[in-house]
Amino acid sequence: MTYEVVMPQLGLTMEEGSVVSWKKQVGDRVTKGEVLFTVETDKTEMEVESADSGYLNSLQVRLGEKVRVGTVIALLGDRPGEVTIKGAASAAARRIDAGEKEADAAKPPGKMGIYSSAPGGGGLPAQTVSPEDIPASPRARRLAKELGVDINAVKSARGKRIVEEDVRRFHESLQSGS
Amino acid sequence: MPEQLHEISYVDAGVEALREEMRRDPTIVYIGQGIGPRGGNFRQTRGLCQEFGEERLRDTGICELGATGVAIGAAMAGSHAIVDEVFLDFSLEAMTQIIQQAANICYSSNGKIHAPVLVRSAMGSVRNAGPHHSHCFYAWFASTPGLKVVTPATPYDVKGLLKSSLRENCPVMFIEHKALYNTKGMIPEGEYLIPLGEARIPREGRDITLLGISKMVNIALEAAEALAKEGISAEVVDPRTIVPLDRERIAASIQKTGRLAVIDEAPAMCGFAGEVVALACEACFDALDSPPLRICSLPVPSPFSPPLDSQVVPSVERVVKEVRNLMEN
Amino acid sequence: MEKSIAEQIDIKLLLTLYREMLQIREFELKVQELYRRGLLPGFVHLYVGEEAVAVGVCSNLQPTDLIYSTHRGHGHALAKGVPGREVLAELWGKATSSSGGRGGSMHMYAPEYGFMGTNGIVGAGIPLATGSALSAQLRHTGQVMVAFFGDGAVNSGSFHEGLNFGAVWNLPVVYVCENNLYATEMAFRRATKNTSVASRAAAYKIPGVEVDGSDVLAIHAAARAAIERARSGGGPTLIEAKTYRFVGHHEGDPGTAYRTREEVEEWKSRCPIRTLREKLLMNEGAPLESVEQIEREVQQWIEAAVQFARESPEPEPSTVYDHLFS
Repeated sequence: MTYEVVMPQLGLTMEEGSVVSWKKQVGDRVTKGEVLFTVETDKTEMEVESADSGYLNSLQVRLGEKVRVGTVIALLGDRPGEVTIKGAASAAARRIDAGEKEADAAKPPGKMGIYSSAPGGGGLPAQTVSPEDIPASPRARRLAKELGVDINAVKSARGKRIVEEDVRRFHESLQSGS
Repeated sequence: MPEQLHEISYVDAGVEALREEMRRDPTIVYIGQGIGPRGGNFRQTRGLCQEFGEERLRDTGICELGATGVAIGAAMAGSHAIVDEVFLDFSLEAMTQIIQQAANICYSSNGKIHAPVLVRSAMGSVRNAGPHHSHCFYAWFASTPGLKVVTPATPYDVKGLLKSSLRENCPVMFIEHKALYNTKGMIPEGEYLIPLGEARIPREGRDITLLGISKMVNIALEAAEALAKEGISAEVVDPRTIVPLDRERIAASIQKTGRLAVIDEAPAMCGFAGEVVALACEACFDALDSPPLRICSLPVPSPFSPPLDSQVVPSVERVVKEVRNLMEN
Repeated sequence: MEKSIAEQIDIKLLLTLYREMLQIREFELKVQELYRRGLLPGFVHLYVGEEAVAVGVCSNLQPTDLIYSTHRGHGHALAKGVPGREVLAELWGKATSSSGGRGGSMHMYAPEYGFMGTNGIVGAGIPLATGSALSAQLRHTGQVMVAFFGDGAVNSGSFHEGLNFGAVWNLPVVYVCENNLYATEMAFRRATKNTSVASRAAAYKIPGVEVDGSDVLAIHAAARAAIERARSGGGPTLIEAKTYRFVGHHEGDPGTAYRTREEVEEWKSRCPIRTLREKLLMNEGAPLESVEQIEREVQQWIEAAVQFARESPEPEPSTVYDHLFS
C-alpha cells in the first residue's frame, strides 16, 4: 500500500509552495503525526506533519522546486522500497484537475456559447464547413440553397462565420461576372 | 390610439385601471399591506380607499402567506380577489399558496372551481435596495402551469393589461417594476383593454431583435438608438405577457432579423431569456445568422455598494457592447 | 334521570348520525381492501376512528356552506354530501367523479356539494376557508365556512395567519382541529409545549372549545353553537376535537412504530360508532330493526359504489390539457 504525501493547502490563498527541507531520509520509518518536511510559500515557512505512517520510499520533488497545492511530493509505503504506479498516475491526474479548474475559473459564467471555440456551440448540429474551416450560419446556408450558390465557395468578410451578407455579396459578384 | 391622449405615470395608470374595474365589478376585493387609507407603499392604490372604503381595500399585517391564501379562498368562493405582495420578493412567503393551491385548483377540480385572484407585486433593482428587495424571479411563476404572468413596461400597458387581468377567470401574477413607477407615458381618455398574449414592437429594425422584459425594454430602446449611430438597425420587442407568450410575433421578428439578444434583469441560469433562445432555435433555426445572445443580470445576490450594484443589471453600455461584439463575429 | 341538553336530541337525528358514521367506516375499510389489492393508484390516508368529527360538524351545515378538508378527507367529503360512488370513482382515477379523476385522494373537489377540496398541503385549507368566509361576508351570502385540519397544522404559519385573519375581520368561519395526537409519526406532545389546541384561540381572542371527538353528540352540539355564532356575525370559533385514528398515517404504515398497542386498543374501545349504536339501542330505545336496516343499507350502498367506480371509464387521454385556465 502506497500513501501519497502532497503539497498541502496552508491558508486560503495559497496556490503553490516548495519543500525547503526534509526531516526524514529515504528509507526511514515515519509515524503519523511526526514532522516530515518544511514548506515555504510566498507568505510563510511551516513544518508539516505526516498524515500517514510508513517507510519514506521516494521523494518526488527537488528542494526548492515550486509545485502547485495537491502535487504529490513524496511516497510512503507499508514496506521499505515499495512504490506503486498508481501513485504516479493519480498525481498526474491531480495536476490535470488543478489545471482544468484553473481554466474554468477564468471563464466568466454565462459566456460559454458565444466564445467557445467549437463551431456550432452546444447542441446544434454540425455546420457545413468551408475550405477555410469557417462555419456558415443556418441563414447563410438557406440563402445559398435558394440562390443556387455553392456555400463552400463563399468567403467570410469578417473571417469568423459565413453569414447572409457574405452569400449575397458572392452571388452579386457572380451575377456581375467580376 | 385615435382619441384624445393624456400623460400619466406608470403607477397612476394602475390606479386608473383599478378604479374602473372596481366600479365595474363589485366583487373585487383588494388586500395587502398599506393598500388601504395609505394608498400603497408605492402609491399604487392612491385614492381608492376614499372611493371604495375599507371593506373592499383591506390593510393587512405582515403575513403574506395568510393574506395570499385568504385572497385565493375568496376568489374560489365567488369574489375577484387582489392580493398585493408589494415587493415581488415577499411573494416568497406565499409561494405554497400560489403554486400548490391557486395554480392547480382549476385543473384538479376538472374546471369546476376557479380562482380569479390577481397577485400584484413590484420586481427589480432600485436605489441599491439589496438582495432582499430586488428579485426578478417572474420566470418561476411562468414555468408553473396554471398561472398567467404579466410584466408591463409602460403606463399604457399597465392600464390595459391590468384591466384585462382583472377579467381573467384564473390566477394572474401581475408584476410591475419598482423603477418604472414614476415613468410617464400617454394613454387614451376612454376605456381600452389589452388582451393577454400580445407582444408589441416599439421600434422596428433589420439587423437584430432585442427582446426586453419590463424595465429592460427601455434599456433595449436606448441601446437601439445608440446602435443606430453605428449603423446597426435593432428591432425592439416587448412580450408584455410571459404567459401567455406571443411566440408568433417574437419568432416573426427573429425570422426577419436573423439575430436575437434577450435583455433580462433576472440571472441567465434557467431563466426566461433561455426560453426565448429556445424559441429562436426551435422556430427560427434556418433564419439565424448568429447564435442567440442572453444579456442578463450577473449571477450574484444583489450587492449593496454602488460600484458593485451598478454592474449587475444590464445597462445600455453593456447591451451596446455585447451587440456590437455579436455583429462583428 | 334528566337528560343533558346534548342528549335531548330526537331519535331521527341519532339514526342519521349513525348511518353517516357507518357509511364512512365501511367506505374507508373498503378503500383499504381495494388499495391492498393494488386497484387504487396513489396513496390514501384513512379516517377510521374519526368519523364522529366529520359527521358531528357537517350535520349542522347547509348545502351552500363550504368546507376545506385535509389529506385525510374522505370522511369530510361523505359527511358533506358527496355521493360515495363519486368519491370512490375519484380514488380509482375514473372520469365519473366530480374531479374527473384528476385529483385523487388528496386533491378531490366537489363544489356542487360545498366540498372545496381535500389537500396535500397541511394547513393550506385554513387561509382558504378564511378567504371564502371573507367573500361570503362581502357578498352577504349568509354562508359559513369550515376549515378542517389536524394537530400537525397547529404549529404552522398557515394556522396562525389564517386564524388571525378570521378573528380580526370577524369572519363567518369555524376552525375544526381533529387532534388525533400524531402528525405522521410525530406525537403532538413532542412537537409543542402547549398541547392544548383550544387554548390557542385566546391568542386571537376568539372562543376555543375542547370536545370529546369520540362523542358525535358532543361534537354536534359544539359545532352547532360555533356555526350559529359564525352565521349570525359573531365571528370564528376554534374547536379542538380529541380523536384518534385506528389505522396508520397512510395505508402501508401500521401505526404501531410510534404508538403502543395499549393506546390503540384503549381508543378502539371508545369507538364512536359502536358507542352510538349502544346508546341507540339501550338508552334511546331504538328498535333493533331500525339499526339493522341501516346496516344493511350501508352494505348495499358501498357495494353499489364499488360497482359504479369499477365500471366507470377512465379519463380520455386527449383531455390532459383541459381546464388549465378555465
